[in-house]
Amino acid sequence: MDKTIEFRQIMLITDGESNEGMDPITVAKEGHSKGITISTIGITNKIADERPLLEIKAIAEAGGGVWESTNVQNLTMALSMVTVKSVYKTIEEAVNKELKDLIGTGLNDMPPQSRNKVVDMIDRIGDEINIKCCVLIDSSSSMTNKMDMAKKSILNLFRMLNQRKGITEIAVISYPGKNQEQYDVLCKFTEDITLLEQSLYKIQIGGNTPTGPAIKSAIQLLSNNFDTELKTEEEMFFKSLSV
Amino acid sequence: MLQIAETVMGKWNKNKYTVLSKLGEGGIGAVYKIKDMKGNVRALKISKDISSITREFDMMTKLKQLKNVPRAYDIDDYKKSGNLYYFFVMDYLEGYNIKEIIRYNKIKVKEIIGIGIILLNILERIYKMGYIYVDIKPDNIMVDKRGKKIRFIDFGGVIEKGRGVKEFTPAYSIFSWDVYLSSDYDTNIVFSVAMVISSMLLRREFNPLVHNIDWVISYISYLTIDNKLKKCLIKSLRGEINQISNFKAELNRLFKECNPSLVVNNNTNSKMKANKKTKSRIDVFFMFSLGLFFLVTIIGIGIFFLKG
Repeated sequence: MDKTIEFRQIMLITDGESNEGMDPITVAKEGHSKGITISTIGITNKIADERPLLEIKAIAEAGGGVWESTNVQNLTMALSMVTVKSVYKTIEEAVNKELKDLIGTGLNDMPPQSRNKVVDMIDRIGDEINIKCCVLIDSSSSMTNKMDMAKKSILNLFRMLNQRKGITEIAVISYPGKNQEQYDVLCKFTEDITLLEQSLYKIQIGGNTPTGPAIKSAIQLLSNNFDTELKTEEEMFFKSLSV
Repeated sequence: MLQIAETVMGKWNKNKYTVLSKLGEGGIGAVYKIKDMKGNVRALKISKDISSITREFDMMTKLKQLKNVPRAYDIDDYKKSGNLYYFFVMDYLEGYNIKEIIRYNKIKVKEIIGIGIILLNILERIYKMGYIYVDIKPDNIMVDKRGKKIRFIDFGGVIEKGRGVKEFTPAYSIFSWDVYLSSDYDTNIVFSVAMVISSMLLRREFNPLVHNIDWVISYISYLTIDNKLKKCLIKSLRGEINQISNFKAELNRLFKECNPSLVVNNNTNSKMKANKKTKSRIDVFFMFSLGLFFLVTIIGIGIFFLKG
């Protein structure tokens, strides 16, 4: 078995509220129970409407992730900040749990001067961990003027994460999809920025906001790990041989 | 988070601090001006994020031999109404950050070049110690009121060489601008510093999601400054200068040649202001005559009725 750890995240970018399909909060909870973190970014207009923001907050809370609201000009910053925060939040929680199991104290119970060693370990893991991030982008008609900036921000996110030692893979799903579909898998997990860039050009704008089904499709994409499936099959094969 | 005149007592070291005023708030926490038990005025950064506070204090301690890094004194926890906060205490810097200078203060071209050279020196020193100050931006650079010293603040985003970036500001980071995609340290630093210099010269900031680099460059070419300085900045912004030492040598030469009294003046900006003034003068004159007209008519009507 490979001992490299993998961080699986869904990053939802939207400027409105879901209005089609299943409840996104329930789906997010389901995803979180499978070890996937769901974070959200709400693009706000000048006149802030409370309700979409509440939904975004609820999805991130159910998904164990981080949420942020931003105007579209600052999307690059928000996108990278939320991703980094959610990666570190997850690692911190895992390390804290490990500490408690091993020596019975969390980071809190250690004197401040000696915490730096643990934090340094968290940083190292954050740098070496493999990240799989599925970006879910709202392509309903209200996003028309924001799409160019959103595309650039996604590419910037990839460039930032790619400076780490760990492998970064990004997939993009837009929702709603073409031809009355609820979503559109524009790009499966890739390490290739040119492929990512090309696929972003395929986004078509217009339609409803089926947030729930879109999250569900992202969960499927993230759990659909072909390699591990093959490995388990191989293992079974070897086991049957040894018997 | 904290109230003015509140006393913060550390859980572990038992030091007490009195809050004087709030200095600012960011994504991670807030910074307050405080007084310690001996009467020293210091700054206190407080947050609910334990790793951020630990990390930043640790980094400032590692870099403490550098003159341009504020000193960090104490790190502790503070319990307030059931919540646990984490804080550290550092030097309080009196002065302005470059963002404030861009907005409110007049600054000479020669001073701007000087600041650029100092920034490059600090960044080089930090790099030689094995670290990278990633989040270069006007908000994070303080100009001391008295000594005119340049200091960096906010060490949360400083990383060890070879590790991934955690915090950055798109406007000052080369890879947000579609310019040149390399993790080559020198080119990135030259770009960031050139962008800070350009923002100071143009007295405004840019956003790569809204503007593109050619836009920034055309703005620079309209400035009334030495052509050599323009060329040098444009080359850096295009990612064509890949040695910090080359950029620094060029800035040093320009610094010597620069007219010491030349102040940044945005010609277009001042023209726009002049236009606004005349416009408002017309408005005042218009309102005045309108008022006079009404007054005369009212008096006229009054006289007419009185007579009647």
